[in-house]
Amino acid sequence: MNFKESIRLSVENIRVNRMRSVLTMLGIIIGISAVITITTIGNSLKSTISTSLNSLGGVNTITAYMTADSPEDDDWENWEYPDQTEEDNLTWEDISGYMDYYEDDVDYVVMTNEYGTATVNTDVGSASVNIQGSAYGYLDSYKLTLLSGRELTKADNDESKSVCLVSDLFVKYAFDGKNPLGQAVELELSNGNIIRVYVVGVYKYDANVFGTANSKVAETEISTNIIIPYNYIQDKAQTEFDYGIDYINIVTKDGVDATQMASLTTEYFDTYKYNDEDANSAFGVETYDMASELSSISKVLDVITIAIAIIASISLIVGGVGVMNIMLVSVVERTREIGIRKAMGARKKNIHFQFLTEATVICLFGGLIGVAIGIVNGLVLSVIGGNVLQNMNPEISTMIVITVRPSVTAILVSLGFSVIVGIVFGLYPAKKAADLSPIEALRYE
Amino acid sequence: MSTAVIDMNGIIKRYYEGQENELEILHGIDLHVEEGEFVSVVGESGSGKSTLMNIIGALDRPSEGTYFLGGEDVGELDDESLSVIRNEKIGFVFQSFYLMPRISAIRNVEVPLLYAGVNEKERRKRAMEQLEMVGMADRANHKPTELSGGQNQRVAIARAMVNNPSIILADEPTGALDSKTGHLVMDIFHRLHDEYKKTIVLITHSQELAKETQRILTLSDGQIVDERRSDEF
Repeated sequence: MNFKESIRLSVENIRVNRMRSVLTMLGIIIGISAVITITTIGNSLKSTISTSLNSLGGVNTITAYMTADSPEDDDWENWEYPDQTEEDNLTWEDISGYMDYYEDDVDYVVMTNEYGTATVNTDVGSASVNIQGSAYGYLDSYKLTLLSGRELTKADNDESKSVCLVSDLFVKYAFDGKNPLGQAVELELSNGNIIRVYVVGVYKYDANVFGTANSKVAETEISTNIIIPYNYIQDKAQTEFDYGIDYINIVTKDGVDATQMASLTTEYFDTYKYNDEDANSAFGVETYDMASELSSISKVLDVITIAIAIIASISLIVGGVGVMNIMLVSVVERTREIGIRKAMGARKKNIHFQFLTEATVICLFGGLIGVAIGIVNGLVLSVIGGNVLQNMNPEISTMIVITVRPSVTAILVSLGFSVIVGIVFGLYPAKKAADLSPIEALRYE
Repeated sequence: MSTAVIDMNGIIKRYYEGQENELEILHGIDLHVEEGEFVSVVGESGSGKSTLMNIIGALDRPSEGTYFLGGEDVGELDDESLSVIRNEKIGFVFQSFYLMPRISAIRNVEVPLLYAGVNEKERRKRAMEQLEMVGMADRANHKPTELSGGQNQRVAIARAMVNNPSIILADEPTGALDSKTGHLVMDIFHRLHDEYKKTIVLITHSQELAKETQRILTLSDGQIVDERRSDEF
């Protein structure tokens, strides 16, 4: 018998026994919708995490810092921190060499060293600042907006210029909101040196970036960052022992695998710096990259999602038993019809196919309804969950970008699974129908 | 060389074979029906009529004896092949119509073609031709529950005819109808016989109906006890 007619008969039978069919499908609907709800939440969580982290600096950023190598065989008990000399320090020259070496892969390197805090007093007011040294690309990497003037450039750093970037909050309190461009700012460093730097740019203070949103600190008390070319401030802020650059953020070019770039970075510094000739090989550069963090978070989430989905799918088996039950009832009810069909020349396989199709269509219908309910559930719960997350962490709430995304794979797998459930649990009733003797089936009242 | 469509020799049918309650229903039936013949088998209930019909209709196999239907040895076939025989060579008409209540008249008529692997367009065309033949074309899309008994039986006859079978096997076709409608249905059988040259086997308990056929076989207690041509009455 042809496929189309079988499907048509199945759909007609489901329509005639509407209530019964829906009740039968219930197990499948609950099973599939549970699986889809869970996978949708899992997937949404994953994409929320990745979009949120992306908006922070992204998956193409590698953080690298100089540290001592781990002991062999992880023998930490007999390990001592090796003696560090100034030769072992990571310097801007090292970084420049690295950038030249990987100029095709590395977009730019952001370096921020901290030099303590200071209070700036002017004729019109005062404000406190955190002194930071940066090569260039500072505003870009922290996603800050330039309000006026310009960003620090490579030339500023190369030529050790005495310039700086300040925040609009700083301008408000230290300059009474007047145009500060070209004005000098005097700072006393922790080693006693007093430096004069000239304002070349003003950025918009972003409470979210600096983690002060919703804090109770008064605006006047907030210390904002003043950014000065690294080469200049490093020179002025020298102390007896200098530990060099704390850490750098390497931003790779689009299309470069950051995880792979991270291990290349470690290798580069082992080869060209910490090789016992230029510096002690007991030190090295370790890296940390968002991409690999992200992929390990994803893996954990995947495992959890799949585990819960498998548990949820147990209800599919229960649903399948329900389908089998109703199909057996259907075979008995339609004994006469089976007899007529057999008298008209239906072969066993025709009858078998018809009942199998019907069981499968019921399960597929249930699966489709389950998928629809599951998607709606998953999306609603993801949004609610995202909002709860934002409310629990108000200071970073704007960094949590809620993205909801049903899992296409899960939908396809679920539908496939409901078809399989239909086939498996339809087999026995279908065989029972096919094996009926035509005479007895015809005589059945 | 005979032109017998049905060629049965020494048919014996036993139930519960080899068991204590073994029951022999048919005790050696010889039945020969020529092509284009209109034959009736008459018998009281319990005479073995239904069992004989099941064997003629390839719904059941004889325990002993040979049965050739259109030259093919039906006694030896498996279930699958019997299905094909029923589909291609036999058109059933039953007392209580046996139409499927949920599908329309035309789709009921199409059922044998469905199992013969005929495509949808062709099915529709051939089913419609048969419905026209029995005068039910205007009710093609009605369901059996919306039709009278006589109309249902006409649809059933259209279904029996649709795959152009070798024989039409009618089991008490007027049994569920009043006498006027019954006559109308019998008229259709006569037309199938006269115009379409169909071989028809009518199984009935009614002597009246049997007299309308060419040859009457009387079955009693599992044996054919009398055989005469209708003009001998």
